[in-house]
Amino acid sequence: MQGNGGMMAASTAIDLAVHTVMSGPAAGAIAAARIGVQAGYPNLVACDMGGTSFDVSLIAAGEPALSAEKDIAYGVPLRVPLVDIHTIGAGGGSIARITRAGLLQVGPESAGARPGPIAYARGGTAVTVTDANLVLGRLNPDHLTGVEESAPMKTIAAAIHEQIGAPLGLDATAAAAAVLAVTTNQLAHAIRLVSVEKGHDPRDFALFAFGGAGPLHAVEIARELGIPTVMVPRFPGITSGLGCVLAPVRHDFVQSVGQPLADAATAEIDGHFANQAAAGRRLLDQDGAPLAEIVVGYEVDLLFRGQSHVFRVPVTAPGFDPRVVLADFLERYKARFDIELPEMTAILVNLRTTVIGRRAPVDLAIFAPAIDRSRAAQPSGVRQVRFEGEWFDTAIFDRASLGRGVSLAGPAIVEQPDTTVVIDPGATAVVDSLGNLVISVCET
Amino acid sequence: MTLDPVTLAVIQNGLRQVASEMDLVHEKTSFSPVISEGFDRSNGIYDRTTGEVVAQGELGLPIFVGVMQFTTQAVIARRRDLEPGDVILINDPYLGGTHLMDVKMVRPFYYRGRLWCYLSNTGHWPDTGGMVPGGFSATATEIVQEGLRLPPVKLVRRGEICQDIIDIVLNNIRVADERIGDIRAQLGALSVGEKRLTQLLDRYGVETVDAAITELKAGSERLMRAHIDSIPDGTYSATAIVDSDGIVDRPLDVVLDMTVSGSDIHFDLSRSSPPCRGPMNSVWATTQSSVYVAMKHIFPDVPINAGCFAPIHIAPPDGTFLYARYPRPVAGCAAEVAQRIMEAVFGAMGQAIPERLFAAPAGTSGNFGLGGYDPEENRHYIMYLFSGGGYGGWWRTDGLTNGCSSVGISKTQPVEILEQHYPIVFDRFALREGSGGAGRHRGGFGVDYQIRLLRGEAKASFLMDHGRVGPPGLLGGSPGAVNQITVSQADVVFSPPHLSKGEGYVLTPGDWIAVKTPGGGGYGPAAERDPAMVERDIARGYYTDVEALRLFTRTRAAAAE
Repeated sequence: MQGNGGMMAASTAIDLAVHTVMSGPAAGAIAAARIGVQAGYPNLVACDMGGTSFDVSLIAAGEPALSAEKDIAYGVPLRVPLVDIHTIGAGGGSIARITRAGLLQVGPESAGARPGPIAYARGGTAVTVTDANLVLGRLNPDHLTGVEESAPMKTIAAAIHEQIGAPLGLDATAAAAAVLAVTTNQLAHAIRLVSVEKGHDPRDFALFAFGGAGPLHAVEIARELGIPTVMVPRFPGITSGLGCVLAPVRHDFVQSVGQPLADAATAEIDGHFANQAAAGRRLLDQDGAPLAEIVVGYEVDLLFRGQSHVFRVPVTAPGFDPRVVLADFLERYKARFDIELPEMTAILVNLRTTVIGRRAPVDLAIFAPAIDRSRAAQPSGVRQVRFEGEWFDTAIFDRASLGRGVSLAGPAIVEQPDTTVVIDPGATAVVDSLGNLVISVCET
Repeated sequence: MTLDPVTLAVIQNGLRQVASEMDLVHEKTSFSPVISEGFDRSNGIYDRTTGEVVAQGELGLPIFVGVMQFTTQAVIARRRDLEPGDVILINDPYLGGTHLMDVKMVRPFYYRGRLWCYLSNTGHWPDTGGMVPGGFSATATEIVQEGLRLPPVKLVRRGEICQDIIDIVLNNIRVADERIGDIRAQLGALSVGEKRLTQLLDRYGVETVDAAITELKAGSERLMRAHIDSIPDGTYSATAIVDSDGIVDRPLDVVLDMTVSGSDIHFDLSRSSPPCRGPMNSVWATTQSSVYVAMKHIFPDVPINAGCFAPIHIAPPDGTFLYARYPRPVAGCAAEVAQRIMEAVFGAMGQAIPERLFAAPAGTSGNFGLGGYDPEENRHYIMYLFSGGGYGGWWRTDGLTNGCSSVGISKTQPVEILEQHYPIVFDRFALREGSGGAGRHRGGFGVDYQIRLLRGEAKASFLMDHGRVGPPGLLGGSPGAVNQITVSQADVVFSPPHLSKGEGYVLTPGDWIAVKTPGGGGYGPAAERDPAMVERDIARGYYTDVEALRLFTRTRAAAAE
C-alpha cells in the first residue's frame, strides 16, 4: 500500500519506500471512497477514530483528495502525493483535564491502551473520552472492545467529578457531557480544516465514520457541522484492511520544468507526459497484478513568478495548450483565494502523471446481511443514555441482527464487536443494500 | 453574563481559527518567500477600544505577538476617521512597529454596522527601498536610509483601493512588480478574516463572544500570575552583548534587572548602552514584545491575549538603544536586538529558576540579503535568507540542532526553491559539527552553508550577531560556537571586520559566501555528561576523538575506568 492510495509490488516498494508513508490511513480513505460510490454517496468526509488519533480525509466524486505538500514530524516536508489526511490527537484514550487557566481541555495527551482509560481497570487514573462516554450511558460497561472485565463505573464517576466536575462546579454527569462536547468540537474543527478551509462546504458531504470510536461520535459531529448524513460501514473496525483489497495499483511521476507557461512548447510537454505514462505502464507490468484497465491522468503545478506555493490544475495530454491551461488556472485561483493577479507571469513548475491500474471490481454487497421484510428493527435491550442534558430510555440494537432495509429511530444505540454507534434523538437510521447503516441527522 | 465551559472553549478555538485561516491565505498567496516559506507574517484580532490582542494565529511569527497590538493602538490614536471598508497601511517603526520591512495593514471590522474589533496583519516585504536591497543595511545612520516610512495611511477607502498610495509605494521600492501581489495577499487575508468572524458572531452573538473574550483574558492572566508566583521573589540581573552596531566596532550591552514580586514581574533595561549610530537600535514596541516572547518561551502554555501581559511590567528604557526615537536607524531590532533582549531575560530567569530553564539559543536570525540582476532571466531579484542555529541544552536533554531563531517559527527555505528563484548554487548546506556548547546536556548544533553566485552581479549584506561571544551556557555549561562569515571575492578570502555584520560586498560569478551559525549553550558542567552520550556523539561524527577529549575530559576518563 502507498500513501497515495494505490498499491505497488513489494519489490517496487524497496526502491520507493517513501511512498509507503501514511499508507494505513490512505487505505481507510480508499475503502471509504469505494463503499461511498457503491452506496450512492460519492462525496464523503471520512473519519477514522481509534484510541489515540482522529484521521480525516475528504473524498470528492469518489476520489480521496491528494496533497503533495504534507509535512511529517519536525516539519520535514514530503513532496510525494499522499492522500490528504489531517490527523489530530483525539481518540477514546484522550485525557480530559482542567488547565491552570481554568479551561477544560481534551487531549492531545492520551492514556493509550495501557494504562488506558479508567474503564479498562489497568491502572489508568486520568479521565478519558471513553470514561465520559460510559458515564453518559453511550458505551456498554459490560462489553468494552478488547476488555474482559466490566468497567468500574463508580470509580469513573468519582474521578470525573473530582478532576473535571469540581473545578467547574458541575456534577459527574454534567462534567462528562462537557468533556464530550469539547471533544465533538475539536473533531468538528479537524473536519473544517480539510473541508471549509479548502473551499468545500461540509453540508455537501456525508460523514463516513469508522475505526473503533468514529461511530460513537459521528452523529454529534455531523450535527455540529450541518452534515445531513452519517454512514457507518458494516465492519468499521476493519475498513482500512478492506482498502488494501480494493485499492488499484498506482504510480505517480513528477517532472520539474520551471519555465513560463506561455513559453511551454506543446511537443516538448507532450513528450514529457508520454515518457511518464510509459514508465508507469512498465512499472505496472513489473508489479504483475491482473488489471481490468489502465487509466492515465495528467496535472500541472503552477504558480505566479515570485511565489513558492504551487497550485495544481488538471490538463489534457497529448495536445497540451498553454492558453487553455492559463485560463483554467486563473479561474481556479480566483475561486480558491478570491485574488486576481492579471499582471503576473504564470510559471509551469511541475508536470505530473498518474498511472492507475484498476483491478477487477469487488462487489461490496458481499457484506450485506439478509433482507429483513419486517422493516422495523428489534431492540435487544434498553438503557439510560444522556442526550442534551436529559436521560432517555434508549433502545439497544445488535448490529448483527439488523437486516437489510430495516430502519430505526433515535435515541438508539447499535452495538457490534468492533464499535458502538450512537444515534441521538432526532436522527433516524436505515440499513442499506450493502449493509451500511445510513443515518439521517435531522436538524433539531 | 457567565458562560458554560463548552461555549468558552468553542469560542476560544473559533477566534484562533479565524486568525489561523488569515495566516493560511496570507502564506499561500504571497510572493515574498520570507512570508510563504519563512512564515514571517502574523494575523490577529484586536480590541475595538484598547487595541489589545484578542487572538492571534498560532502560526504567526512570535515577535509580532506584542507588536501588532501596539501598531493597532497607534492607528486608533491617529486615525479617528475610519469607516467600514477602510484598510490602513503602516510600517512606521516608531508607531508601534519593528523595522520598515514589516508592513502592517489594519482594518476596522464592523458587525451589523458597529465597530466590533480591528483585524490586523503584518508581512515581511523583501524590500521597502533604502540603501541596500532587502533593507538590512549594516551601516545606515538614519532611518531615511533604511527605506520608505509609511505613517498610517488609507490604502483602501470604503472598499476602494487608493491607487495613489500604491503608486507611491511601488515607485519607491525594488522589484515592485511582485509587491502588488503581496499587497493583494495581505488584503485577501483581511477579507477572509472578516467573513469568518462574521460567521462566528452570527452563530454565538456579540454578547456571548464579548463575554468569552473577557473571561479568556482573565484566564490567561491567572495562569501567567500562577507561573510568576512560582519564581522566588528577588532581583536578578543579566547582560547580553550585541557584537556592534555596524558602524562603531564596539559591543552594545543589553543590561536587565528583573524583579519578581509575588505574581508581578518587572523588567528594567535602563542600564543598557545609549542609542547607537548604526541600525541596531530597538523601538519601544519591539523591546516590549521581546520581553513578552521570552516569557512565552519560558511559559509556553499561556494562551496569547492581553491578559497574559497584565502581570508583566516593563519600564521604558529611555536614553538607551532599546528606546529608539526618530531618526535612529532600526533595521536590526526585530531580528537581532530582540533576541539579545530575550537572551537577557533567559539569563536572569536562569538565575531564578535554573532547574526549569535552558542555556541560551543561537539567538540570531542570520539575516543574509543578496540583491542583483539575473541576465538569463532578465530580472532583478532580492534574496533574503535566514538560518537556524543550535538551541541551548536544558534541564532534560541536549539542545535542538538547527532550530529557528527565537523570534521566529520559520522553516529554512528549501535550497531547491532558492536555487530555482535566484542565480545561485549552494556548495554546502551542512550541520555545523562541534558547535554546541559542552555541558551535561550540550547545546544543539548550528548550520554551515556556502552560496556561490552563478550569473550576473549581486550585492551581499549581512546582519547577524553572536560573532564576538557565543550563546552563554547555564549552570557551568560552555557557550556555543560564535557566528562566522567568510567572503570570497575573486579568490580573495576574508571575514567582515564587524564579524557578523557587513554590506555592499559586490559578487561576480564564482564568488561565494560561507556562513556558520552559532551552536547553543551547554547546560550543567561538561564533566557530568553521560559517557555513553559522549561516545554516541563521536560515533555520529559530531565531535572527533580529540575534540571530545578536550571538551569532556572528565567524563572520558570516567568511561576509561
